Amino acid sequence: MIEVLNTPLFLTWEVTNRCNLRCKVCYNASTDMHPSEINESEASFIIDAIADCKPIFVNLTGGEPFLRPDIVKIAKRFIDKGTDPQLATNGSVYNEEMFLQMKSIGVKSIQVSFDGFEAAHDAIRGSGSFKRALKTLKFLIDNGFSAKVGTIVTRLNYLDIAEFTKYFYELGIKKLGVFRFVPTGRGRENQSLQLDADDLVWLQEKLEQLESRYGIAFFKCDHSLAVFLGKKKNAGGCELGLKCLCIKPNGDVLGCPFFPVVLGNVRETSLVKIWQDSPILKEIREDIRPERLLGKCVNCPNGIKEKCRGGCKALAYETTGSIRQPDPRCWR
Amino acid sequence: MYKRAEVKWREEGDGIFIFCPVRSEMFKLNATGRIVWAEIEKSLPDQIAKIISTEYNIDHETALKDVGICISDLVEKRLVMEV
Ligand SMILES: C[S@@+](CC[C@H](N)C(=O)[O-])C[C@H]1O[C@@H](n2cnc3c(N)ncnc32)[C@H](O)[C@@H]1O
Ligand code: SF4
Ligand code: SF4
Repeated sequence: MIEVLNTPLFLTWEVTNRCNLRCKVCYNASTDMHPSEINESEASFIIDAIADCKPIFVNLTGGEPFLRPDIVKIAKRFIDKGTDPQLATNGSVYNEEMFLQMKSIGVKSIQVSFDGFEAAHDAIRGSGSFKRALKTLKFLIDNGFSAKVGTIVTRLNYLDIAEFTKYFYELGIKKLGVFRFVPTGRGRENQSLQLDADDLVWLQEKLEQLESRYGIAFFKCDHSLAVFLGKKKNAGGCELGLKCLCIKPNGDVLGCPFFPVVLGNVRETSLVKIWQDSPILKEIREDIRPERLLGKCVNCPNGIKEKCRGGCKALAYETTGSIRQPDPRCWR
Repeated sequence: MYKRAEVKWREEGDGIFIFCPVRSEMFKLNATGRIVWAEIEKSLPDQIAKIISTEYNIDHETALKDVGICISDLVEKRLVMEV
């Protein structure tokens, strides 16, 4: 049975579409501010709407959140409301004063993106971006933040994962996020960077070895792969429609940052109402039931369709136009 | 026993969702697990079992066994620390 929660547990707010980089993989294809971006005077309203959901985890991202002049105020309002937000940054907007303000208001967690070592990272994110991100990361570590590294695994970097982990472990990183590349936005023109199913399985196993060698915590945006490998008892499949919502820079609400179907706009409808009443979400929740899955999921060769639910729905939708189809990178 | 500082949770229906942001892992505890979670920092396993056996009308021995399993599970998942 699909259990529907009263409100989502995870909220992502893309606080701006503006970005100083033009990463080749960016699912948002971020460039400039959205013409109808949630402005400073509306921000408190959005924060309150998010807090009404009583989320367990709030991620402030973008675009580049540190380009938003009121980002410290936004983070502070979350903290005042009892929610401790994480910020995700490309690390190339180096602003010590802003980082220290974040520290003083009580922000603990900042994630900096590194898509491999310098050559791979700069090939994706632009020349000089690795060095800038590293300077930011070191400053955050030295100033006592719980700094994380987030990495999108692609053909350019996955074989370096052991060295990469060791390098950041030695810098003092205890948490490394490893994200599967979802080729939407600018990523659509760079699909060849995707790993295939066998590489993903190899990677997952490698990460488990690295996790026990370094005691580093990996968090992966690939719930269904963990189910497939049967390694984690608690692993569940894709969370679309079940646990998360994402607010775009203009207030549009999506089921997940990678799933491009607009459920409503938070300027007009509360997040709680969207979560509980959106006809699209209701349809999604129907379509992810194991008996509604199509293609090879019908007779899942792994016998795990109740938990896997067909893998990443955003990828299935991107490639086939239907969330009932299997993830194109299904591991068998 | 202490809940790890980074762990977040939310009650939902009879149960409780516990999230470890370090590993981005989510766990769900049932109604008795919820009592264990609420009491773990202030009561001993025996006292928690007493609450559960009264609330759910089960014998103390079974409740104590369940509490023990639940606590080891929470430790193994790195949601609580034995101090
Ligand atoms: C869109 S970025 C915004 C925050 C910041 N500008 C940065 O680059 O970290 C948020 C997160 O999404 C990840 N991301 C971007 N495009 C992606 C894609 N196509 N597939 C998977 N993750 C992606 C980034 O690596 C980053 O961890
Ligand atoms: S991934 Fe981040 S840094 Fe790169 S273009 Fe997108 S928003 Fe900007
Ligand atoms: S066949 Fe479908 S349900 Fe089975 S592992 Fe593949 S994607 Fe998951």
